[in-house]
Amino acid sequence: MAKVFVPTPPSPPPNSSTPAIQWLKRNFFNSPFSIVMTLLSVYVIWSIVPFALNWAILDATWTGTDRTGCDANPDGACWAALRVRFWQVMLGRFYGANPEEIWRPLVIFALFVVIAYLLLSETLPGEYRLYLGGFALIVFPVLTYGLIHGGMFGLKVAATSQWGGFMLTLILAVGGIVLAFPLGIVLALGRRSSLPVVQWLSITFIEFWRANPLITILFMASNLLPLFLPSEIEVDKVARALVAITLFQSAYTAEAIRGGLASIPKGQFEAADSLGFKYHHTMGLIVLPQALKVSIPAIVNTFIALFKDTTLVGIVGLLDVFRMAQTVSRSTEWKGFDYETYIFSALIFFMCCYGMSRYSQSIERKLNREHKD
Amino acid sequence: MASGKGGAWYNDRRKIGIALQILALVGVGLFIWYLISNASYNMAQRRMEMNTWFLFSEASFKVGFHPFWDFELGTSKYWEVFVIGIQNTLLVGIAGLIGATVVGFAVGVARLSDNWFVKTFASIFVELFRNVPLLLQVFFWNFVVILPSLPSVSNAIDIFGTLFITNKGIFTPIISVSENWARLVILGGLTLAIISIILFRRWAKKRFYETAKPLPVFWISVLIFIGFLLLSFAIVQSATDVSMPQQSRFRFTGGFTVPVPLFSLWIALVCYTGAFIAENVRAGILSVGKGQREAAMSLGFRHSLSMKLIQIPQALRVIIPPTISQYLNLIKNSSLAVAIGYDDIVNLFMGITLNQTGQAIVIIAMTMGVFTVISLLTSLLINIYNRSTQLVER
Repeated sequence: MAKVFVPTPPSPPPNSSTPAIQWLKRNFFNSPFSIVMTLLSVYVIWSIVPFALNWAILDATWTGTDRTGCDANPDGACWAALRVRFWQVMLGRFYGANPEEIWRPLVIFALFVVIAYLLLSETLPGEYRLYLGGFALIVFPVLTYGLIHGGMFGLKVAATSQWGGFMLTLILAVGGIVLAFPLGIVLALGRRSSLPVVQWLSITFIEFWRANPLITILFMASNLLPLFLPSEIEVDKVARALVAITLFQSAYTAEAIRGGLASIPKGQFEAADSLGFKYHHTMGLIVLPQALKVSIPAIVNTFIALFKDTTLVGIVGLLDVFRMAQTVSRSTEWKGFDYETYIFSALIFFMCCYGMSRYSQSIERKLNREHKD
Repeated sequence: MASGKGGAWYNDRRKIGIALQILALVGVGLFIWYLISNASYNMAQRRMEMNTWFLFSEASFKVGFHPFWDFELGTSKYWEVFVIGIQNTLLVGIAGLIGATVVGFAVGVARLSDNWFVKTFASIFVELFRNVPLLLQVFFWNFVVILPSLPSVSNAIDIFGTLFITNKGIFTPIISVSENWARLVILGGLTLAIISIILFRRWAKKRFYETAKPLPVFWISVLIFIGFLLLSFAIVQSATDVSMPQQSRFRFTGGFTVPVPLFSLWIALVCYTGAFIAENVRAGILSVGKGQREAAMSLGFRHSLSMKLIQIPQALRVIIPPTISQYLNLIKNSSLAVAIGYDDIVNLFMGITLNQTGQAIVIIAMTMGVFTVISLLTSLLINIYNRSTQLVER
């Protein structure tokens, strides 16, 4: 008798539960350890979140011009303190005391936002972007100093010793990276140069500043700059900090750009050479435009680090946004509201740095896509 | 390349190169000369004198924390302050990098966990600590969290009469070694312990390859270490002295004091650097091919075992170089000690000694020299590591 093929019936699908339950199981109850962690996490959230929510938002004191309201409500945060001192924390002593003048830094800030948007997004055609870049590098700093410092066109003088707050943080960070940028390009090219003397000078310069923490460089600038410059030149505290930050940042910018230069294929140099390009043409027209584009994410990352590091100027006596917020909770008027001021300044830094790191990641993804095509 | 004959000299890249280098050297030399001449003029104007003798005169202030070096106000010199500063920087640096490595690995692995909560908490940890300035965190831990929650000396938290926690510091018992020969014996014992652990590990690996029988290598290493430590302390027993902290009304005497700022700085450095290391760990684990994990799974490895035996050993090659540069950052960041008054090199030497002696140039050069040396050693380490792992690559 011939054998007849009898197929075995198909086995049931391995997991008969619904997708939702599968998802729950996979994400929360996959193993005994996972179950323990889930229960623990639920307990922690249960005990922290309602308390934090009540303290920070629901029970908080939002209004009032002095501390009586806050003292009457010890279970809630005292945001009134920061509301009263808001412009001081954002713009420093002078503009905090002269609320009719705050339009000056606000105009500059608005201009800064517009310029940054136009330069970073690709809405503007290339040629105009170049002009705008020139404007941002040359005219804008002068305008910023003129308007914020005042002293001309009948504007009240806001001495640099009265600058502070978020405004000072931005001036130091943005000023530092803008000034460090050309220096960084020169150093990066120098480090990859075939001339040994130029290469060694660049390496020494870069590695020296990278080896030292910003605090020591700030100490150096505040102690040694007045010694090493001619005595006729008066360097104020803000300028000293800016010099220190520029030197420090130029080394990091150079390393970021060097990474970009290293990613340019050798064929590009050889093609330029075989077309008879001189060094400055090869670099300026062929290599740097590509290298700078590739190094944008790395430069943004160094900028994030610099942005956080500007808080260190507080140690050499400048009042950046964090120190300014701290003076609020150390003043007799609002003494003791430490959590509020720390959370406020931490939130400002978190929003800026997190936003920038997201931006740098998105550019990186875009560059990766372009390279793959 | 253009040759000498025909064509102007400025079209010859070699000659242009030499000219440029001479120009660069002369330019830098002139600039440095300009700075020096300014400095000497300014210092003459202010009747300042640059010298290094001050290093050998008595320090005029008291150093609070000097665990490895005896300091006596009135006899100790400024160069000893410098040495103590370096020791304290290295102490918080090394303690910090051990803590940051543990936290970084735990959080980095947690970010890849199956469990949604664990994953999310780890991400929050990383983003929170990475995106807030370290100075703010140092202040926060010290002045907002730790100091207000610690009791005064008279209400010290007493743990079995041996450990006292107060807002002036944490007081612990300590074994002090008074004689120099005894210190040498202990140092020798530790060296022997490390050498024998290395030899033992080599032997255990060889045996494992030959017989496929694993040994509890980690625990045996710990035993060897403890054994040598006990042995060397037994030898020098006569020269050692156990000092217990004694509570009097307003202060503690004897024992060993861990200053509160050291503790705050350590926590801040561990969290901040741990967040960065966690990202390195995550990137490293993700860099290991998916096939490795799938192969481990199909051989019946559990998630934790496949991590431990298959994925992490391969990921280490990607993880270690950026992590070493995070260690360097940690040591540089320990200079934030100056903000909360821990006695590191920047605070002791660049801060207080500079104020006391006014020798700005020498002091700043020495301090920056210390950091430069540490940084050069670190990059040497990274280069050696990269070279040693490159050979493994196929």
